[in-house]
Amino acid sequence: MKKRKQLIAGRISAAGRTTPQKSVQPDEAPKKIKKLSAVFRNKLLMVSAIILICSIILVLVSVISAVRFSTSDALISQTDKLSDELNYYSNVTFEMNASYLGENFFENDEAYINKMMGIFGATYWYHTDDQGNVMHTNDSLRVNTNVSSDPDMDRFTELLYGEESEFESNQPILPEEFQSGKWKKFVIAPYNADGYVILKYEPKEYYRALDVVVRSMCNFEVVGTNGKNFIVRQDGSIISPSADIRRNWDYSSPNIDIQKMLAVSAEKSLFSFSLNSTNYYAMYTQADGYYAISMIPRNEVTHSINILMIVVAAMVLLLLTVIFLQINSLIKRMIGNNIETVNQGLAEITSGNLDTEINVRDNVEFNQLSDGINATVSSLKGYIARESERFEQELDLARSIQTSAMPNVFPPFPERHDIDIFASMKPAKQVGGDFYDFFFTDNAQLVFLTADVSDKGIPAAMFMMKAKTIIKSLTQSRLSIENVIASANNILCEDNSADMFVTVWIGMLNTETGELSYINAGHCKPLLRRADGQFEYLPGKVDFVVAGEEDVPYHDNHLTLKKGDALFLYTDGVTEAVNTDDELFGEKRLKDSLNKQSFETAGSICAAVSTDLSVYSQNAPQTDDITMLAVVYHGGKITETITVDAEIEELDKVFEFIERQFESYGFAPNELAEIGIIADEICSNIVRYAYPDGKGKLTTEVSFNPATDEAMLMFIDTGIPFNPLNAPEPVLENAEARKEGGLGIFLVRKFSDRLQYEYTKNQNILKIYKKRSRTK
Amino acid sequence: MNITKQNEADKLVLFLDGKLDTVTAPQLDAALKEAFEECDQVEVNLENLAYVSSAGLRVLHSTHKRVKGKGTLVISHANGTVLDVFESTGFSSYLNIV
Repeated sequence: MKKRKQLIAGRISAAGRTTPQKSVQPDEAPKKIKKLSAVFRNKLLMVSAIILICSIILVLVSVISAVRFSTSDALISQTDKLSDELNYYSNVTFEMNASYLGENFFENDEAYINKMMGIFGATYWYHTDDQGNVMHTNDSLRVNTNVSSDPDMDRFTELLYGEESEFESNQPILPEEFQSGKWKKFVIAPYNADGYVILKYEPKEYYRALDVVVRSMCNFEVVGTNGKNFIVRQDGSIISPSADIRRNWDYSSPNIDIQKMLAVSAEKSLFSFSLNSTNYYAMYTQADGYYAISMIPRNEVTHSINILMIVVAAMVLLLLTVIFLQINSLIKRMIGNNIETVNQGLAEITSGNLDTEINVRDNVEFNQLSDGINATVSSLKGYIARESERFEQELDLARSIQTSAMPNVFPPFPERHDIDIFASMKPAKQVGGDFYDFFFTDNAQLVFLTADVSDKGIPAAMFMMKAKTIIKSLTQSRLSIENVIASANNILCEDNSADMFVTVWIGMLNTETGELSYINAGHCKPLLRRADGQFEYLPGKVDFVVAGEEDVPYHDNHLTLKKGDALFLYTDGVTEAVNTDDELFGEKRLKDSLNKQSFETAGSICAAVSTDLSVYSQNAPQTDDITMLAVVYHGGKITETITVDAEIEELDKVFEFIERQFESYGFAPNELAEIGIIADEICSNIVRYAYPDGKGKLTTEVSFNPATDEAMLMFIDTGIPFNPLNAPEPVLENAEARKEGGLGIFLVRKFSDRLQYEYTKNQNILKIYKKRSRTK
Repeated sequence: MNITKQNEADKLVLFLDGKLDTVTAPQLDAALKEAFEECDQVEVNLENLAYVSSAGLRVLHSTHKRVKGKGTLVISHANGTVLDVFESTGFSSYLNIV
């Protein structure tokens, strides 16, 4: 089943990119949080207002009641005075009448009596004996009756029959009778020791008798500034002050609504009363047939209250304002500012500066808070440091495992001179997924690659190890490079739950022939420099990334390297390195950097790019692994041939040819002498003995393998089969007696590293190998 | 190979310059024969000789045997590969090498 991978559209980059998360909008706007000092201020303001209102109400209530008391006191003294005065006038008037009657009453002289009554103004008169029997009267209803039969006078019965001789002749008007309106005034005087004279006044007569005296009582009385006293009859008509006085102070009302007044208040208690649309505090008392009323305008009393209230309110307000400001500033200073300082410190800590210390030492609480925060941050810092150290150690370990998995000893093939290879990986701070690799699958096949796993971190590093191992093991099985990558792709696609992929540039170089086949699986294009030219980006088909999708086709490209050619491979960490302005290093800068000089070795090529990169990026942080690999090809196996007639005269040509070739291979002069000896011995032998008829060819082939530093000298003739290796060893101890035949082959053996003879297709083929000395 | 002849008080000196091999060996052989006709004492100076092969050794060997009792062949200034060949083949103990 084919697995579809979701790959980043467009240019495939190994760098993992995360799509930005849609930010979540909160459903509700957060409740606006007030500053602590504002909360304090609001509460304080509220409390102050309540205190203000309460204190004003308290003052108001107490002042009003105080005013009521004092007003009440003032009015009581007024009404008492009026009452006393009325009683006094009543007593003066009626006791005088009684004493006159007691002395000057004459029985049976009705004319005289009626004349007296006219003076006294009484309605009825009664002459009784000491038993209350009416003996003489002008009340026709009571003739020859007893006073007890008169409902008005029955209360006198006890008085008349009693032993008491002391009694008031001016009988006060009973309050309950007065209020009901059925009241009478009685004056009693003892007469002739065995009888009484009783005068009875109906209200009309009573008022006629007393009004005259009472009328002027309140004429010039003033209560307070504008307060007034009134003497009022039972029906409400005002007696005093007199009408003409009242006219002077613009008071025309002839009476007072007594019923209303009685309904509002009891006697001798303060009440509000409206008169002529002016509000008064008033008080009344009844005094012997009259109401004495004293009243004072309310505004006269409340005026002072209002002023007092305003003063008190102003003072309370002032006091509260001062307290409020004091407390507010105290809170702000002691708590608000301190909390602000603590918060600023905390904000700094939150933003990452764990070295911030909080030092609010104004009081014990903030001292403790500061110490607490500092201690917490300090232990947090220690914990973070320990954790990050542990994490760093693990990352370092991962990084070193990753790095050590790649060949990192240079030069990697010190015995080979056909290839110069150098690679480096500078990991980003995070463990990345870059890798490089190179190895020989046999003596002549060099595989080299750079790759970049998408994503970073430990998973990417593990995927990288997997990819590297699979690719390497597949190349060992001598598959073509197409098959290697196709198989690696399918293997890596299995169980690739992390959806990672890897870009690869892999090349397989036959170092003997210089043939290079390569595949670019989504990787950066490398640069090629021909021996006589400059670095140029290598064209070629770019295939799909590895581990992206199963059964993707890969196409190999072919190229033949010549001696001196150089290849530079890299990952996008090079071209995407940024400077402090966030500008990419880019492909053009890379090419310029490579072409600045003609670098000889692979190491110097990588070093030059590294240096340019670090100069370019300065202190900008490295975000991706920087991996590069350079290969310089020093040429493959070189083979040259010369064929001459097998004659002595021709041998100089052969020797010159051999010397020239070996000189070009870099053999030293003493080695050239040794090779000269070898050539002479073999050639002379062939010329002399191979062709008995003297006619034949001698072919000489020379070749040099830089990989092994070994030269091969091959001589071919078609003459008599002869294996010089079977020639006997010379007897050196006795040189004088020896056969000279073995000496030549002895020298050949001495100066060569190994010899090989074969006879095939009628050819004697002798191969002589000689290594170049390492001193060069 | 160049051969330069030089007469000294009591001997003839042959200076060899180049390579003594199959091609040049007959040249030395002829030069030596001619020299021994002129003088009994012949010195071969090898200072400027690049190498000597078995053909050269053979010439020196045969000359040595031929003049034995009649004259003296001295090899001088052998060095480097030439001396190495003389020593490894045992010729150094056999020929008069100074």
